[in-house]
Amino acid sequence: MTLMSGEPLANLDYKLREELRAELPRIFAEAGSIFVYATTEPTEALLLGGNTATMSEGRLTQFGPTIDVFRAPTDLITARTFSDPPLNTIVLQKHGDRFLLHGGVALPVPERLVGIGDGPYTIGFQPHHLSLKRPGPRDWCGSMGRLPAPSSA
Amino acid sequence: MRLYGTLARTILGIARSYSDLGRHFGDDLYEAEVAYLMDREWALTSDDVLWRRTKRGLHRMAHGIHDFETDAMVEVFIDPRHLMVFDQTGRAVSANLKEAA
Repeated sequence: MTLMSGEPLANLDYKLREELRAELPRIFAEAGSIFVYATTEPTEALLLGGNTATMSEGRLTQFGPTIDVFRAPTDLITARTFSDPPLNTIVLQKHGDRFLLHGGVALPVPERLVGIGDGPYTIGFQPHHLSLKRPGPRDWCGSMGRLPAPSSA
Repeated sequence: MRLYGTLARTILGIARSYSDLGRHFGDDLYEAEVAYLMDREWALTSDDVLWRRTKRGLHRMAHGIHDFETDAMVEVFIDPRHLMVFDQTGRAVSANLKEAA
């Protein structure tokens, strides 16, 4: 049996919605059927786990285990679709081991990506992955300079 | 200092003279106060300092506080494990989890 539900929580009041968000995964697990659950809220997809297919403008952009699609989207559209609050994106130039931005901002390229070709790239990150204080000795890439106001999707 | 009451001690720190207060930005605004506003009162820009956390913006023309933000530096850190990088066509250059796995 397959059950399809389109934004089932959209019209519920906040309290009931939160209750059902916790209850639905249990019901789904007990029922052992296939559930197709459509939602506009990334949080709901993350709570349910399983597999996620992201759609944008009527097209399927990616399908895979939910956490993989969330952490490693294959393109910018998927990243933006599956991001709440909106993904911060900045267009910059890669030059060697630095991402350069107008105004003298230089962001070290993460080690795993130093080998990619130089040129323009778009970086994307969640607001909670940016910090104004150094969180650990060498884990984070630091940047000196002023960042422009991040664009939102 | 009428603005800060007993917190004025925190701002002044161990300063004993005007030269201990750091750069002078004009009027009675010194680096020590700006540093305090950035550290404790969420000020990030000169407008925050001049207009939102103090009222100096109102009489800055009269007293000549110049723009003290021109050489400002903000250090930011982004977690490289969660930094997504896309090329010009929007394709991910490398997925975050692959290296961690």
